[in-house]
Amino acid sequence: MKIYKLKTGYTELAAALLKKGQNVIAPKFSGRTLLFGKIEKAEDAVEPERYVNTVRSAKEFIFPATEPVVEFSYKNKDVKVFDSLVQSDEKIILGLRPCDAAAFTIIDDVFNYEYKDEFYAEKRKNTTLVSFSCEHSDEACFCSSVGLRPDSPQGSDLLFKKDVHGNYFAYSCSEKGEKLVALLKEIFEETTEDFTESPCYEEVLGHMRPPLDTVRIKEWLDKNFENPLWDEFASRCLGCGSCAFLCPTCHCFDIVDETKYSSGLRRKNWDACQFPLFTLHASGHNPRPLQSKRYRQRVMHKFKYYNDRFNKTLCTGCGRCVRACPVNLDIYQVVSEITKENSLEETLNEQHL
Amino acid sequence: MSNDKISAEVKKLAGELLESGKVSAVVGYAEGTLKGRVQTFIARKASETEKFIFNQNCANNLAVYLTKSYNIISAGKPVAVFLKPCDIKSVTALIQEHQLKREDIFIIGLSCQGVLNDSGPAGKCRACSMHNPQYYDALIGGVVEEKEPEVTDPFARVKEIESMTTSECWEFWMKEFDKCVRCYACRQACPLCYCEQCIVDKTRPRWIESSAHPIGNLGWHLIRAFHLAGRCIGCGECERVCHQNIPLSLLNMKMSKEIFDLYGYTAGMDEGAKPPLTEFKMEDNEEFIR
Amino acid sequence: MNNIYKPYLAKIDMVRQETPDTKTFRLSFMDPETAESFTFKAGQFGEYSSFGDGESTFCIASSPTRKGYIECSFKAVGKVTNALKDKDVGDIIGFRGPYGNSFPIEEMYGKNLLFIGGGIGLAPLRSLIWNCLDLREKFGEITILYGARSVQDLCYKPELTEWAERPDVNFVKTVDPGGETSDWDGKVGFVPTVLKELAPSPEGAVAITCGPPIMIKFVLQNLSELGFDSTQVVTTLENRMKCGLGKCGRCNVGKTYVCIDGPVFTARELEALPVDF
Ligand SMILES: Cc1cc2nc3c(=O)[nH]c(=O)nc-3n(C[C@H](O)[C@H](O)[C@H](O)COP(=O)(O)OP(=O)(O)OC[C@H]3O[C@@H](n4cnc5c(N)ncnc54)[C@H](O)[C@@H]3O)c2cc1C
Ligand code: SF4
Ligand code: SF4
Ligand code: SF4
Ligand code: SF4
Ligand code: SF4
Ligand code: FES
Repeated sequence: MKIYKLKTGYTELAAALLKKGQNVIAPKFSGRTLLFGKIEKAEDAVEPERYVNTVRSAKEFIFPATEPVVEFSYKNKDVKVFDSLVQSDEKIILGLRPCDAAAFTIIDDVFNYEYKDEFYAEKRKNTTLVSFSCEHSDEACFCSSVGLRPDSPQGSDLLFKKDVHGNYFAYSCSEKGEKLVALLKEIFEETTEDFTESPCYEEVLGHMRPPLDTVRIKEWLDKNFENPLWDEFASRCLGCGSCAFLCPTCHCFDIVDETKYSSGLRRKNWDACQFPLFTLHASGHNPRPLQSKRYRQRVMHKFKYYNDRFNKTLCTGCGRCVRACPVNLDIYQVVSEITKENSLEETLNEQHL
Repeated sequence: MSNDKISAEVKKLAGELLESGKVSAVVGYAEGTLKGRVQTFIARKASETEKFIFNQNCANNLAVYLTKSYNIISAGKPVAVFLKPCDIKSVTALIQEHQLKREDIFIIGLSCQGVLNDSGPAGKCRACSMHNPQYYDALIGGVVEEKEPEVTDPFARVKEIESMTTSECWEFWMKEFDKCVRCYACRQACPLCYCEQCIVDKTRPRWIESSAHPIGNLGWHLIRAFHLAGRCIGCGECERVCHQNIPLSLLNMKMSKEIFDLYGYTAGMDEGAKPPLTEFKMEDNEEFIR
Repeated sequence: MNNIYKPYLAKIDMVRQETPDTKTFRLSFMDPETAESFTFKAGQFGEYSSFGDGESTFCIASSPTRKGYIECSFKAVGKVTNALKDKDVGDIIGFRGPYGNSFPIEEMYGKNLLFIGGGIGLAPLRSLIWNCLDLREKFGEITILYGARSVQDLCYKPELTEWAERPDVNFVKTVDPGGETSDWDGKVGFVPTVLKELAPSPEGAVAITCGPPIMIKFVLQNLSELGFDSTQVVTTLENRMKCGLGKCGRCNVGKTYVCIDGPVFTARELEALPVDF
């Protein structure tokens, strides 16, 4: 991992990229909402020190909310199908947080195993992830509970950290990162200064929610597919898609046809396990007829099933679902409570012995 | 009355209601995990009522839990629910629409000084002239003084939009709708979006495209606004829960304004009234109906 | 690009009305290369599309030993199936597949086979049945127990007659009480009940069962009472699917993707899954 000092600030970095004709996606305001969007003017890119995180994650640039995958036309017996074009122009996602960069390394597994989803893979291949370590966290962040830190390099092509004087240092973590530095060599200079244990990020860590015991959580989940706690947790869940749609690691989708006259598109659209229709059969049978079962699926998938399958936790602690949930059904609180139940059980067992 | 005192009152009342077996559950608020946020909480045992609180962060309209899909109302025993004066309007509307029976619920009416959102007093509260519950089974917080609202014209924001040219207006809304990801939190939080199958989920035929693209989003928001015309009671939950900050109340308020101008009707005020779009009167001014 | 979502085009060569709401299509691929190279195994499924309406999941109901075409049988229940129902010979539909695992046919060599089907659930079994009949000498006794709600709900009627007439097949058909007609020559009773009467021996046998969930439930129970070990019983799961490719997350049961790891499971494997189907 090479380290480079950035001789300018963030806005100048964005400007330099634009000047080189790069396609830059970065956090910017759409009204009051901070979202990733294409940057036309460097000043539109909101400086990382001014936000904790965006409302939506960066996943939509690789796995969009809606994306055509097949096109077709039909006139009587004459039917044709075409591949939809993958929107795979090279792009740079600037100003994303380590939790969002890490999320891609987690969902890469599902999009690539067995069958390769080229719509995901192509965009992923052509996207350079330039993350900025977090100078602030908020009450919802809990990346340190799932093996990450405010300055984790996981998934980033280039990771920026700041020294105490406010200078930016870039850690290049991949070939793509190196390429980007080479492109902007006039504003970067190689250095040996290392902020791996930067005190600033230790402080951010200190303000975060206490780490979760993911091993214990998984142990409990392994044993408690049936447990009255699920009803208790989910009794107030509204069954919306907020948590899943904002989550950088949720990856479920629907496939629908849309038509106009005698041609049409087949689209991949975000979908969520919290909707009753997600699993409803045409016969009326529904394997998850109650919200408690749907909410259980969410927690199980994040902290157990994905682990069982791909050996990774399906959560980066970005806190988006916590911030957005209309009823404050806080996944961190939920999984902490089950670990408490776990220890309670053990004390009871010990007492029996 | 201070928040602590009010919270103590709701805990006590909820405890008594469950202890005495008068109600089967109490739907209320509990401490949240984030600043300025509370949790909704459903207690079924008196021992759980310690969790209840009431303060200015209690924005959620709990009437949504009284709709059928929550299946919370079991025969025989009422369910107690915390309701602010504006939330009670949704109960009125649900009763009007035969979704709820008055005797199935025990209303813990909360007099209210307004609730907060992320940036200060909620918009609806700034124009509110109803700080005391219209009716209730128990009143918490005493009777508070009704003062002149800070914003005297509840339709002021709507009028701003109305003053735009058609193309400005189109641009304004298309830009807002563009942010929509179709999570349906707005629908799920709405006490009046209780349809067993929402039109947006119907596939035979598919009336509204489910994709989060301009046409799909436009279709979704217009249809929802029309379905709530003369029914939306203005609790503002849809706008509050929309993480994309789409000003959904504006759409609903526009419809409320039209309904008021046409029929002099305000939703959620009178159990006995018929919402104008569900009935037909000879004096209705549309020629085509006659 | 290798677009995993792009279907092959297939022409409907034959349509058979199986029951008032169930049809069978015989399909051939439009692209000669695909027609030449396409192979599958009994138990696999595909995504069939009516363009403009969407895709639906059906098993491949024909045997892999019968080359040059595939067949599917479907019940018109929803959007896509109703659109498909209106298609006719010569119409073109889409097909993606074959997907999923398959019946462990090699492991069945030398064993007595007991097929237990209900209603449209005969479709996946039919693929395996013909596969086994085409390799008849590799298997021991073959028993087929098939039932439906009523006589008119029985699928593949000409083939039922053929099986009944074959000396190397022990064929038993039944309809639910009340579903019989005056000239009905089969049994009257629910499939699980008839299974008990038949009392097949578990010795060296494999039971393969498909049908409505309630039938499967009691068939599994009764097989176990008859002494079948859960490793000797094979069935299929029908979770709602979209992609068939292990991506969309819809078919998940625990860590299992029914579309990738299934749809064929032994009863033993089902016991290990969380009850999320
Ligand atoms: C592995 C497998 C094999 C199947 N084989 C057959 C078969 O051979 N013959 C047959 O008639 N049916 C079969 N089914 C069931 C069949 O897929 C559904 O009946 C069908 O998809 C309903 O589609 P629809 O669009 O008409 O219904 P709608 O109600 O309009 O369905 C909307 C969507 O729901 C999904 N869906 C609804 N019900 C089911 C279901 N039971 N299983 C899976 N997805 C569902 C589909 O994705 C569909 O696109 C099979 C299902 C699976 C999973
Ligand atoms: S589950 Fe919540 S905290 Fe975890 S990655 Fe998803 S949105 Fe972030
Ligand atoms: S939590 Fe639900 S929506 Fe998210 S990936 Fe898992 S199954 Fe899909
Ligand atoms: S947990 Fe919250 S955000 Fe997720 S579905 Fe339930 S109410 Fe919606
Ligand atoms: S809550 Fe907001 S983002 Fe979600 S569907 Fe409603 S308007 Fe769209
Ligand atoms: S949008 Fe319309 S159809 Fe959908 S739930 Fe609301 S009122 Fe019902
Ligand atoms: S059908 Fe999409 S993951 Fe199985």
